[in-house]
Amino acid sequence: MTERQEKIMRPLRTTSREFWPFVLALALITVAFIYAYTIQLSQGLGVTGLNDITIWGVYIVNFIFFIGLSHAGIAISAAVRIMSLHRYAPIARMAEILTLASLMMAGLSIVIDLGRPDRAYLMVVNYAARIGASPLLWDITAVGTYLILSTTYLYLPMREDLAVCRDSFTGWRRRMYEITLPGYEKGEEKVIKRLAWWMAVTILPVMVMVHTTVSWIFSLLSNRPLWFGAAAGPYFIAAAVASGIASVVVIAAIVRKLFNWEDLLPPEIFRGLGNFLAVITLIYLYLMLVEQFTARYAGPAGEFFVSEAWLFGSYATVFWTLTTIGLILPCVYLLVQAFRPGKINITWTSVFSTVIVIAMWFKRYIIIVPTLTVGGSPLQTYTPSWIELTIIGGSLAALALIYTILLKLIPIIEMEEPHHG
Amino acid sequence: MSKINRRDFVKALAAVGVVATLGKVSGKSIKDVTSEVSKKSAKGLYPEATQGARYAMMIDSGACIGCRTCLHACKLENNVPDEPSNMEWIDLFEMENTRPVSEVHGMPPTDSSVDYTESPKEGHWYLSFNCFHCDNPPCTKVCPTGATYQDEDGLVLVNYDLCIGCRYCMAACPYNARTFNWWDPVNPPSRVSPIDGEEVPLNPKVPLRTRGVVEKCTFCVHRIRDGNPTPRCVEVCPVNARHFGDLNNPESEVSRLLKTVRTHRIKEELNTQPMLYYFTRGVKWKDDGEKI
Repeated sequence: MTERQEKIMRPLRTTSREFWPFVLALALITVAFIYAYTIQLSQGLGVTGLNDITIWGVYIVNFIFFIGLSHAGIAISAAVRIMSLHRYAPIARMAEILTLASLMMAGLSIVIDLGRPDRAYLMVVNYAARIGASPLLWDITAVGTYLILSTTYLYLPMREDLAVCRDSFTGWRRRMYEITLPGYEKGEEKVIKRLAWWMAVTILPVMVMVHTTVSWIFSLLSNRPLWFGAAAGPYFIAAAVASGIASVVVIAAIVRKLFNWEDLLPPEIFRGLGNFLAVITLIYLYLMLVEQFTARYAGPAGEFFVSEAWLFGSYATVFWTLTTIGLILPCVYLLVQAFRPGKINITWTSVFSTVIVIAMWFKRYIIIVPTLTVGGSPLQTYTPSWIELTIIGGSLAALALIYTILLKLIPIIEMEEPHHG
Repeated sequence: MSKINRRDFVKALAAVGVVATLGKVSGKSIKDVTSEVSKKSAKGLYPEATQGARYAMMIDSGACIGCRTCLHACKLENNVPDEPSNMEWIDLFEMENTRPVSEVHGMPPTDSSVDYTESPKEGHWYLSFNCFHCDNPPCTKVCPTGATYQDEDGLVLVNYDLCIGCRYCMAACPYNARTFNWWDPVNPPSRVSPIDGEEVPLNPKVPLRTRGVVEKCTFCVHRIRDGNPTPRCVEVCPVNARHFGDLNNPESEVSRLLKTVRTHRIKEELNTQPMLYYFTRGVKWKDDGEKI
């Protein structure tokens, strides 16, 4: 076993004392989430703050948020493979696992929002008849395709590393890795590499369509101001890329610190990601500006009054906080860092990335809720109930829990030495 | 499998996919594919569609005195629950005389009252809404299971057994016509009518709904397709503000009204083609309570 392999395997072999309390805490929050959902299941969606005017709330916000996070993995690793950006190879797998975990949580968010989750199978039964019409089904199709493709895409190149794990463990752990490796042959990597390249080519357009169909759920409804519009696709993709890349920066910074992987994850990776994040956040801010200008210049009733609610109304505090502290400030920091030669500050880069991720959650809230509440008749307000908040917190904890457990089972960095080029 | 075979296989698969997709898209418009499953599976829930009919309702907003008789009668007729949360298929808004229709269903956000206690009130007029049974309904398009659909006589209905409660139809409806069962609806065997104080039993002709499904006005499908020419709200209106009929029948009340009065429909720019027409014979309630 090489020194590199040894290093990457270390989290799988050893567990620090702090690990278990951390996992326990996440598990407890997840249990609270299950408890809250049980209440909702037994009593109905009335336990939420939703009403006949504000029909969608934080569950749908969470759904878009998780779909956004899921963007990161494939974008990064497919780009690494297609454009031969070998420098970023070490973060490819940690990004792919984020994709997988958040896609599962996104699917769960939709089920949680259903009034009759026991009937969700009817979407499958009536699929052939409804796929021609319902954007919700288009989205489920896109997300499902994306989930299957990205799982395969994560798994195939990982077999090589799982074989290393199998060979270095004994007992039940050896058997566990054995199960994950049906038909493994030494030297299959050559075929798999070719396969993975073609999969990367396939996955990129699917990824674009996933975020576009998510936007279509909303943007095809002509009665909903600031949802309806042709630019929603690019707008959603920009948000997804920003929150996705930002969360990968955070994860990479955490594992780097936690496992002392300073040499495996060199600062250049963070510089590159930070620069990209700066540009994409700038593009997002630009799209926000364009949207607001269009809504306000002539000021057609629907768009104008929703915009008023965003900018000066009851959502103004959230809106301006997320725009200034959540997007503009990190963007300026990352841009300054991009233009200054020399070392980058990984800590601050990851702090501002965290801020962007949080801001993007609230941005989705601003997209969903005001359009429904403003102009509804009779007027109804929406405040998420404690059940909703517990479910939101719990689903985030569940995501972290899934990720933490996978961190202990899968070599999170590809063991193969990255080619420098 | 040899290499060539695999490639041929993939090519063939792609070709089949393309042909199938084109066939689906070119053969039928998005509107057409929406209803077929649902019509079949909703058999038994509602009487068969009236062939050749196109039902429409017309509301004389000048005549309406806001008494809410229609609203309560509708609730009793259609087993719409009061508990645990009050659900309504008809919304009634009290508007100040200076305020236009757009202030209810549109922007800017309105404080038009639905909670008024006395009517008619000086200087006010009343506007009532139920499902518009649009000819080009945006709600049926988006439904992922076909639970809500448009039938041959134009009625937009909900098959409560297929509804998964995603509320996408509510998001798509420009008129907030739909209401959702947030809780388990309570359906007592009989209720006291707030109109005349009489005990009214549950209507056996109208299916009960469960928690987690969407419901809305059906134009009293169980009556109009079963010999009774009018929905309950039309029947009970004390000032004859509501009119109902078949637009395809030139002798029907709505057909004749449509020829003689000036009408408007709400949010026509959305091309939903609503089947609820508003008109007024130029009457508003004057400050002294007299009709002008």
